[in-house]
Amino acid sequence: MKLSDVMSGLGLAIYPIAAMGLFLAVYIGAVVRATRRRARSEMDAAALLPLDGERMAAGCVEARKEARR
Amino acid sequence: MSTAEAAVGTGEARAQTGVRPESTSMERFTYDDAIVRKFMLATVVWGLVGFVVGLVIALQLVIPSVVNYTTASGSRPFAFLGFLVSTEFLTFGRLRPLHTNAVIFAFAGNAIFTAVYYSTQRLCKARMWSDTLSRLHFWGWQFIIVCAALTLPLGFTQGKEYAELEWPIDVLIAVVWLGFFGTNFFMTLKVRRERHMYVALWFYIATIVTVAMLHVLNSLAIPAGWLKSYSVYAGVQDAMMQWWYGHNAVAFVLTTPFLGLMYYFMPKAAERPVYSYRLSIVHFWSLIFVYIWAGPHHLHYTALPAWASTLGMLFSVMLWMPSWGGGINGLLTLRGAWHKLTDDPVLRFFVVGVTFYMMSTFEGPLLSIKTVNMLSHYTDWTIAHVHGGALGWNGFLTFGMIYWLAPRLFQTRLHSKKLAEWHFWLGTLGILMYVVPIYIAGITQGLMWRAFDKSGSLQFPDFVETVTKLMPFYWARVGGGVLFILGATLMAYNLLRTWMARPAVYEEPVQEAPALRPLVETPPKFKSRLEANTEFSHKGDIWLQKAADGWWHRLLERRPAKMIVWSLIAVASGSLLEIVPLFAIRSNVPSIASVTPYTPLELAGRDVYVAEGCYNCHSQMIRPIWSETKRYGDYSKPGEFVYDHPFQWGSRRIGPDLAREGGQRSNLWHLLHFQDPRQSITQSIMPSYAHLLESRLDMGEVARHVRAQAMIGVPYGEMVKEGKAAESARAQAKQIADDIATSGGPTGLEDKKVTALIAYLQRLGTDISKPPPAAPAEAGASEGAGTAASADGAGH
Ligand code: HEC
Repeated sequence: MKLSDVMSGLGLAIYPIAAMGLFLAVYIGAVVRATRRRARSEMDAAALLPLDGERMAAGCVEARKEARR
Repeated sequence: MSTAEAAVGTGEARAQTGVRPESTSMERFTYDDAIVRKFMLATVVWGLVGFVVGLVIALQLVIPSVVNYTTASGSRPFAFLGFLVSTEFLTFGRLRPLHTNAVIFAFAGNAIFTAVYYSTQRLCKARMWSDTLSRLHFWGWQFIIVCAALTLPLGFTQGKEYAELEWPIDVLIAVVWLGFFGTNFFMTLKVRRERHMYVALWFYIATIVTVAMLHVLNSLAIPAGWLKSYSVYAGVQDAMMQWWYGHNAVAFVLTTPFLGLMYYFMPKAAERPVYSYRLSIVHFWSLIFVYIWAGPHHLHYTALPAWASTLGMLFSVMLWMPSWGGGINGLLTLRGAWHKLTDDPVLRFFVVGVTFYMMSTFEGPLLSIKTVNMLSHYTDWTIAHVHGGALGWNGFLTFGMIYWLAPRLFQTRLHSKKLAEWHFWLGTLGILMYVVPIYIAGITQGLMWRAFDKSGSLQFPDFVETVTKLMPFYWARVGGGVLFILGATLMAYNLLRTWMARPAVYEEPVQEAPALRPLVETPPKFKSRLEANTEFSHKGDIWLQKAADGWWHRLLERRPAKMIVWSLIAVASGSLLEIVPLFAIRSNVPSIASVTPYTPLELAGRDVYVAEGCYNCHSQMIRPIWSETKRYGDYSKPGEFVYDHPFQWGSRRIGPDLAREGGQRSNLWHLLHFQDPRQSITQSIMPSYAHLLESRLDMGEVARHVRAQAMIGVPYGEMVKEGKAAESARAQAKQIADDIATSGGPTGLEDKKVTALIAYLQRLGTDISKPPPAAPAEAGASEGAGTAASADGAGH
């Protein structure tokens, strides 16, 4: 008994197509969501997240000042 | 000064970003930067190792052309370099997997972990969930790399590209990746203090989930000893699995995590937010949706069913769009800051890195188009493509990140900006000097393979002619590699000096952020717009309005668990569509009655072939292309590979295709060729395999391997009985050894590995021209294939 014997016995051919349909729906949802105008302010806020400050070690602050000069 | 700039480095940034604190009680915590420092060090060290091994294998392809160089006085000044192409542990076939694994999983892998551990803590405003898991992850991963560095040169391999590591190491990878890294990461998301998950985190999630899935499914194998196993898949199906894995390793190890890195560190370095956040979201979903389908483009014109490779091509071409969207998004992050490029090496590395990303993602779809692929496949064009991506995109993004991180992690200024600039220029020049000649080499060789003369015969029937032609380009590559490594060495030195200037004790600034209150998501009030209707329709309309409003997706962005599930569905659905039909629909692999399992001796020879990594230089797949069938014989059929666990189609022809090698040459020819290829073909660049004439075949092992194959469904019948396999192997080996001895070769080869390897080569591709066996396939019980050696096979 080979793997392909088992697989062919299972009648799986329909699942991938169903899975694709499912994903396509999610995908379209995501794109629609991203392009909605309402989302704008929210996204602008999110975009700033990496720039959110943190307390830096003294050494880093010094080095930054020096680099700026 | 823009809002963004003002936000940098100050405690008050939160107020300005518009992300309101959800509770007033502030929590205090520190970030674990020690672990980031560790991963960064590992990145640099393994990077150098991986690059140097690359240089060694590049040298191995040019060394043979100088080793035999003889001066007028008869001396051979370069003979001492011969060890590079004759030492058992250093042959190209064994070192090339070490190079690829080191660069992908050790260099890029550790770079990813550096980025993830630094940025995740900051984006979540939380320390990594468990310091212990962080450390286990770090040491576990380094241990895996050491295991790889030991086993690969020793010839322990599963024989599938980028998935060579043997099963115990595979198990370890799964444990470290999911058990330590995955758990730690997802728990950190769970305890985060920032509601919205920034897009970089999404890319990390997709990476962790998908890599786990790919790794487990592709590595399924039956152990046949502690360091030997056979893929449960065979032939066409194994090939499909492998390139589904292989391509997605590119996608989810070398692309998505680095995009996460880009979306975090680019804005950091440029001190402005990403150009378009919504584009980044579209970018994310498009990539994980489309990438997963693209694998079969590695298998055009092979025995893979045409529908699968056409599907792969279509999706690959579609990939071009989101990739460029993402690339442009990255570059435009520098809007209004282009002047900074002139004096900031970090930004320069990033910009060139992203440019290489765009070049590679333009070229990738191009290469996946069948007519282009017909020329490019099996040539150095692929190698050039990969190195544009790996050195340019992964390398430069990593270097940029490291230069940005170093002063922050070592809490002092970077030792020398000048050296970083030198690194940038040496690196850029090195990449160009590598990639451009190798493109030319690829196209040259591709054209030579298919050139016909006026009489309609191949213009270059001698394969080695097409190899010799490439030597100048291969030398240029060596030069490019040296420059790139020189640059990376400068970086290592620069980091060392920066580290030496670190403070006596690292400061651990205490951070403050409000705790997240449990999410009470009040859905915006929607009313059904329908009049008098069923309850179901009202609900449906509300659902639709919510969908259009993006409410569902907003929920998703905040809930890691859901995000994981959906990205898993995304990648799994693509995979299912690609893989299931191949297993489920029988007609996709028509069987051929005359194809029978390898004899025990041939199987042992195949094990040697796999262990030596011959697939790194030889394909076993003749495409249905005129120039190819003319050169190698009848094109390969899917049914010919049903007993190939694992498949050995290969992806690059540094040497000729071997799919129909059986019967082409005498046993003695093979023997002498393995002993020293340059004895037979003066310009050959194949390594010498003299050690195979010495090392003995372990008959107990032969029997064990036959039983393991029988377990995964190869019909070995009687052969699994005690003593049968060894008996058959001995008989066949004696035939071959006798033939070699009577043809004037050395004697006493009946128990040597080389004999098994010759038996295997003599079998390759011969089944299809045999009459179907009368009784159901009974392996090895049939004739000793070794005798077919000399006379008749020559004329297919
Ligand atoms: C560095 C790449 C490289 C590796 C590794 C390599 N070969 Fe080769 N091989 C070549 C090249 C180039 C040629 C063509 C020149 C020649 O015949 O020596 C060749 C030729 C051959 C031929 C002759 C084909 C013919 O009929 O003309 C055989 C058989 C062969 N290799 C088998 C092997 C086996 C088996 C291994 C692994 C043990 C191996 N090769 C490893 C590069 C390689």
